[in-house]
Formats: sequence, structure tokens, C-alpha cells
Amino acid sequence: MFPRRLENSVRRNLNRNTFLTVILNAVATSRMVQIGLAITSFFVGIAIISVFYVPYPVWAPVGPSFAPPSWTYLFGTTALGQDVFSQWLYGSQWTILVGVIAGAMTSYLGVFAGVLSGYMRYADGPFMRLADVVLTLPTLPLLIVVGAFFQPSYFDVAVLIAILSWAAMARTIRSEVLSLKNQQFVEVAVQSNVPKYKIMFVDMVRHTLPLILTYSLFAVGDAILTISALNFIGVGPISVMTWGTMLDLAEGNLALLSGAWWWEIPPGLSIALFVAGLAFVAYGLEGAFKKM
Amino acid sequence: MPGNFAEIYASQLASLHHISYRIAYERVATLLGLGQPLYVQFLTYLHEVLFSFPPNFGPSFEFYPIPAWTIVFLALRWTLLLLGTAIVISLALGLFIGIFLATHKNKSIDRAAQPTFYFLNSIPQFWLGILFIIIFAIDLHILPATQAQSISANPPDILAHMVLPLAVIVLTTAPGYALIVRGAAVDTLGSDFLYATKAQGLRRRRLFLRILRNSLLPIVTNIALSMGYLIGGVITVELVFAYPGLGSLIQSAVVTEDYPIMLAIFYITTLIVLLSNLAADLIYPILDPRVSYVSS
Amino acid sequence: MSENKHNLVELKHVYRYYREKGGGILSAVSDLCLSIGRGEVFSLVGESGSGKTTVGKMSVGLTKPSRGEVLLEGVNIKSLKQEARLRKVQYVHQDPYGALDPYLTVREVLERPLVYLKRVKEAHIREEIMYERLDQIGLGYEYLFKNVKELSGGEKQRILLARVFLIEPDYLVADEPTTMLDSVHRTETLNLLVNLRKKMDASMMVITHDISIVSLLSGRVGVMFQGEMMEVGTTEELLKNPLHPYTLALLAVTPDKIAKSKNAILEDNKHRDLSLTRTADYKGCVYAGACPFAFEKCRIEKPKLVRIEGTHSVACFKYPGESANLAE
Ligand SMILES: Nc1ncnc2c1ncn2[C@@H]1O[C@H](COP(=O)(O)OP(=O)(O)O)[C@@H](O)[C@H]1O
Ligand SMILES: [Mg+2]
Repeated sequence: MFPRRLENSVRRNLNRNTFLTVILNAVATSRMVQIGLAITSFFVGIAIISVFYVPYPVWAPVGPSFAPPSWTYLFGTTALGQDVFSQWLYGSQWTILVGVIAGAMTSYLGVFAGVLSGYMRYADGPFMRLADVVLTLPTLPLLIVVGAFFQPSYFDVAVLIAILSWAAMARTIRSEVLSLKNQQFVEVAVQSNVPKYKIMFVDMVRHTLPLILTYSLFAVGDAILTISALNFIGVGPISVMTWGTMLDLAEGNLALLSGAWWWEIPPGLSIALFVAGLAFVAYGLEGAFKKM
Repeated sequence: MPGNFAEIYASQLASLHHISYRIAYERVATLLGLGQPLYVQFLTYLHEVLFSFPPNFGPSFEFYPIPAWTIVFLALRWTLLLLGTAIVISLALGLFIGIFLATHKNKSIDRAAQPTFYFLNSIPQFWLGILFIIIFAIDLHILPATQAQSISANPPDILAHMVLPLAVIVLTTAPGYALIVRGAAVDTLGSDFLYATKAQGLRRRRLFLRILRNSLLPIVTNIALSMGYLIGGVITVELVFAYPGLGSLIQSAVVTEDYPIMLAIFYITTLIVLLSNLAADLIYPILDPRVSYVSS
Repeated sequence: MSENKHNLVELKHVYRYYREKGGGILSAVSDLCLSIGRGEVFSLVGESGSGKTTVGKMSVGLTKPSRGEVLLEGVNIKSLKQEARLRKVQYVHQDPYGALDPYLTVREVLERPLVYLKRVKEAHIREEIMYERLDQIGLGYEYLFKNVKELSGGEKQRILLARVFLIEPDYLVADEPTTMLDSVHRTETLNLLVNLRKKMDASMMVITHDISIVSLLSGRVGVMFQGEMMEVGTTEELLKNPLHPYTLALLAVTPDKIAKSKNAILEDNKHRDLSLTRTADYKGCVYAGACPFAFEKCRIEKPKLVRIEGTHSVACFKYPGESANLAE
């Protein structure tokens, strides 16, 4: 009776693709998004390569001390004769990975707290008071203290960063949900007996997705900057090579006074470029979503 | 926690003051009230920290027997000097550049400024500090790279020492403020209220003042909200330049496991963030453009 | 057991207050009684802001009355479980643009009540029900795969209707079902609504600010003004023999025979002063400020609904009669 065979092909063509369309459109037209994507995918590509191939052992001395860049040692060597290029390559892995994990957890907490306190009146008070408290905690000093006390792993640091950074995102999402909640389509969903958690975490989240997306990109960037600063100060995990650790080691070995700029430039510039790339994508998309 | 608190304390005292570990430990035990139950110790600690002035974090491990608070307070003056000056300069620059960009919206300078500013906003501040040391202090020899003052301290000397750290902080924060001001100013320039003021025949200067006033609210909010982040930035920058503020202090505290110092720094930075939020709340009603518009 | 003893829906002396921005309290509905029997169509007419939507939403439990109670089959609607209530009563929003989530597909809009309310477990049965309903509202099966965003206003309105008829409630409220449509689709949609209701044998409240639509519906009509019921009667009684000055004014706005003779009232209506009548402590008739027949008593005392003849009742001192209790 019903043309079921047709159904699948039609569904594929007419599927809900509003967001994807806007995003693809932004990728195709916005210069900002294009540049940002080029930068970020370059570094992500490097991180992926580094999983399979690093020219020299990261920690072992493989050459003379403080050798300037050459064909053998692309980015020169460290005070101990380690290969800066290999460290930089390998460092991208952990820097990006920890940043993404911290950013993802920040967004997760922010969305959860924001949607819940926007939609459920009884959750609003407790969550927003908590947000007030979190917003007054100075992230870096707290992380330094905690790092000195407990010697956290990278995962712990990511969790800590998430716990310290969700509040701003939660506030913004909350006010968005507060105004969405009064729209008629929510009443229609309620009248369809759609469970509350579905209305909150499917419908409300779908409507705040542009916000969530841009905030998440910023969250990743902020997390990378925070972790790098932490590495640079020398608290927190040091067993794994990151760009921040490289800068800490360079500082500790007086790279500056030895004129070994090649040790300082690659990791720092990479952090700046990657974080800026994320910001470019975020701002470009934000503009595209506004016109939606 | 790495090791027992009191044991670390005692062994540090023992080596620092050349006394036997046993004697040092006994002193520490009486000092810390280790005989008492744990919760009493904790409550005593909280009471000492929160309800006495100046807050008593106990003596510093490294600089025993000087109270941790005294040392932190000495460093705090330098941090506040740097932070306060940086905020004032960044705010002024942000307002000026932001309004300039808003009045040149979509012109080439505006379009070039935006990605540049996002980039400046993304630079790790401590790394920019390193670059500045390489360029200005090592290669060009024009500015001092470390400390806050020379042995012969005088105002011009202190200023010279501030230049590089300040430049780093301002260069990485002012662009963000400029973008916020630009957004607010663009809104103001496009709003009906501005047509109204134009219709009233206000002069350019008054107009500029109105835009300025409307842009102040979001920027004050932002500064208050990002105070925690600002302090984090100042701390890393101080570290790079060996500026004798909280940043250098906290790093040496980390190295020497000087927990009283660390906790005192955490306490004072939290207090600064709290107070700046409070100050922002007090400033809002003065700045709120809607209030002023109705009354005028 | 209570099926015959009780009306399907009863509003007993309901009030609804809203807090206003300035800090005052707005009385959106006050002391309203209304009952709707099984299979009955009731039209609620009144100008915009008269409290029709509030009454409609209160009658299905979407808005809680500040005072008074709403009964569904004799049971207070508050005490019903959400799922049980929603299976029986549904409300169709007046604005199809706002009522449909733009990020959903038509399929999701229609499938949700089947999954969560009707608890139809088998996907193919859900599919068949959806196809059938789409067919009934005159849309092809391919609409299932469209995004809500792609639909026109008329199509949206139909999807909203299809959604309700898939639930098959005992009672539904259609809030201004034709307002957002162009004139071509107006009668068409109204006919669709009437026909579908007949098929389901449901009771229905049709809310409209356009009294000319009432002539297309059978059953009773209530005329509301400023949160109060002015006149109730069958469509015949009300259109042929309007009693309340406000009903006369309403009819005067529509191009009708009666209109011409009542031009004077329309003119008067322009000068009405209603600023006082909406506050909670106003004691007189809410229409007194605009009424050409108003006398001293109208401003001091509130007229009660009185039965004139048959089901025809009016709240106006012009007509003496026995007190009518509509909740009975
Ligand atoms: N949620 C609400 N908050 C405040 N006032 C409301 C709310 N809903 C309705 N009102 C007010 O109640 C009155 C009646 O509204 P409504 O029932 O929507 O009238 P109608 O549907 O007849 O146009 C209006 O004055 C409206 O402004
Ligand atoms: Mg309405």
C-alpha cells in the first residue's frame, strides 16, 4: 500500500541538514573559516602523522647541543642535543588531544548546566549560584596549587579545566533556553508527551547548537593556552612532551641567553596559530549562523 | 599529597636551620597543633585564614619564620601595579581602537584588524614575553628584561622595567577589548537612539561621548568576568620577566613546596576577582545607557 | 459511569491573573463558567486580548487557573496524570509558524505523539497511521520527509491538524485556526477541521476573533470581552438575535445585514475608554466604558449572565431574567 522502497531514497535527499548546509556554506564562502580550517587541519594533520612517524627519539640526545636548524635537524637541537623538530611533532599530539578533551568536557558541562538551569526552575538557583562561585575562581593560580599538591595526570588537568571553565558557557546557554522555553513549539512537544530530557537535550540543544559550537571551539583554544601556561610554569604532568613542556625546558636551559631561538619559536608560534585558527573558524561560523 | 605535610616542613626546617630532624618535627608538631583531632585543626586553620586580619596562613616554609602573608603581600604590590596599569591602558586603547573601527566599519582597515586581533588574542602571553626579551633586551639592548627595578631604584627606572611586561599584557588583551567595543559601538551607531541624538543636533564631541558611554558597559562586564584570566596572564608574564610579583613567587613556592605561600596566593587572587566583580556590580547602574537616556 | 452525568469539560468560576511589567496585576479572565458536552462544538469569539487563548489553554490544563477549577469528565484536571490528560485533550496553537519546531521534519512532528503518547510500538503501524492522516488532510506521503522549514503557512496548519487527529482526543481547542491563512485557504481549512472532528466524534472549542466564521459552525457560541463572558447561545440565536451591545458591535464590524443599522454603535466604539475596567478591583460591567446604553448601575455593579430563552444567555442589565448557571 505504501511505497516503502521509495522512502529510503527520499529520506536521504530530504533529510534534515540545516546546520550542515550553513556550515558547508560558511566553509565555501567565508575567508575567515577557510583560513581557520587550513591552519587547524594542518596541525591536526601533523598530530596524526606524529602518531606514526617521528624522525628522532623525542627525549634522547641525537646530536650536538644547540645546533641551529639544518637539513639533519630541521628545527635545530636543544641544550641536551635532542631534536626540536621531533619534539615539536610529537608535542602537537598531546597539546591538541588534551585541549580537545578539556574543551569537550567544558562544553559538556556547560551545555548540561545551561540547559538544565534554563529549562528546570528548581535547577536554576543551585546551578547559577555554583556558576557564580566558579566564575570567581582564578583558574591558573588554582591549577598551580592543585598541581603542586596532587601531581595530576593530563586527564586530571583536563577535568579540572572543565570544572573551572563551564560557567560562562552555561550562563549564555541558560538565557537562550529561557527564551526558547516560552516558544509554542515547546508546548507542542510537551503536548506530545515528549519526555523532559528529550525536550531539553535534543530540542533545546539543537536550537542552541550554533552557540554551543562556537563556544566549544573557544573552549578548546582556552584550554590549550591554560595547559601550556601550566606546563611552562612547570607544575602538572611533565612526563609527556607538549609544546608547553618544550617552552618550559627551553626556559630552564637558558635557551634565550644561548641565542637558541629555534627552540622557542616553533612551539610558541604553533600554539598561537592553532588557537587563532580555532578562533577564526568560530568567528566565521558565528557570522554565518547569525545570518541563518 | 606528596609526602606528609609536617614531615616536609620539618625536614626543610632541619636543613635550613641546621637542627636535628627530631627537634624540628617536634617544633612543627606543637606549632601546627598536631595533637588535636583533624577537624579541630581544619577549623582552626579556616578561622585563622578567613576571620583574622591579616589572614594567617602560617609561616612560609622557605622564608621561615616570616608569615606567608607578609611575603605574598610584598609581591602583591608589584602584581597590582602591573595589573592596574595594564587594565587602564588596555581599556583606553580598546575603547579608542574599537570606536575607530566601528566608524570605519567594513573598510579595509576594519577587515584587516579583525583577524589580526583574534591572532593577538590567541598568543600565549609568556611566549610573547620570551619573544620580546629576544628582540628588545638581547638583540637591541634597549630595555631591561628582568626584575622590577635596578639597585638604584627611582620612578623612571621602575617604569623602564615595566615597559616590556606591560606591552605583552596590553598587546594580548587590548585587541579583545577593542573587538567588544567595536561590536557595541556598531550597535549604538545603528540604533534609533543615535538617530534621536542626531535629530537633537548634538555636536560630534557629545556624540562620541555617548558612544563611549554605551561601549563602557560591555567592556566593564568583560573585564570583571575575565579578571581570573587576566591574573593568570600577569602571573605567567611576571615569571618570564622575573618580575617580583605573585607569578615569580608562586613558581618558587611550587619548586620549594611552600604550601602556605601557594594557598595565600590563591586566596588573594580569588579575593581580587571577587572584589572586581563587586566593583563591576556597583558601576553598572552608573554606566547603564538606558538609565541615563531616560533621565536626560 | 460518570459519562452521562458530567459534561466533558467544565470551567467553574475560573480566574486568571497575570503580573504586568509595571508591577500591576492584569485580570485576563475573571469568574468564567463554561461547559462543553460530548461531541459539542463551542465557538469562542472576542477581540484580540479578550482572554480567549487563556480560556482555551486553561480548558486543556496548559495554563493553570489562578482561582476556580477545571473539570474533565467531572475530575479536576490538576489531578490527572500528564499522559492521561494529553490523550484526552489537545490544544492547537494559533500560530503555525511558532508551533512547529523549524528543526524538525514533518515525520518527527507526527511520530512524536504516536511514540510517546499513543505508545504505538511497531514502526510500520505508526507509518500507516501517519500516511492515513496525511492523506486525510490532503497532503501526500512525501510530506513526511520534508523539513518543517520548507512548508508554507497553510501546510504547517494542516500538519498541526494532522498531528491532533492522529492523537484522536476527546476534546480539542483550535485557537484561531484560520487567522494566519490567506482567504483562499481559510474556508478550506475550516471545512477540513469540521469534517475531521465529525469523523473523530470529538468535542471542540474553536477560538476566533472573526465572528463571521461562526456562521460556518454549528453548536454554541460564547462572546468574550475583557476576560468575561458577555453572551452565550447557539449560533442561530446569537446571529439572528444578538442581545449584548458588544455582540452588536462585533457583528457591525462584519459585512452583514445587521451591520448597517448598527453603524451608530460602531462609531461609539471608537471613543471607548477601557483603561479602568481591566484592573482586579473594578466592580462594574467591563463594557460600560464603551457601551452606548450604559447607565449608572453598569459602572457600580457587574451584571450576571441571565437566561433569556433556550440556551441564550446574556450579561447585561438591559435584559431582566433568571440567573443562568452555565456550569450546570
Ligand atoms: N503569559 C502571559 N503573561 C502576561 N500576560 C499575558 C500572558 N498571556 C496572556 N496575557 C495577557 O492576558 C490577556 C489575554 O490574553 P489572551 O488570552 O492571549 O487573549 P486573546 O487570545 O483573546 O487574544 C492579554 O491582555 C494578554 O496580554
Ligand atoms: Mg489568542
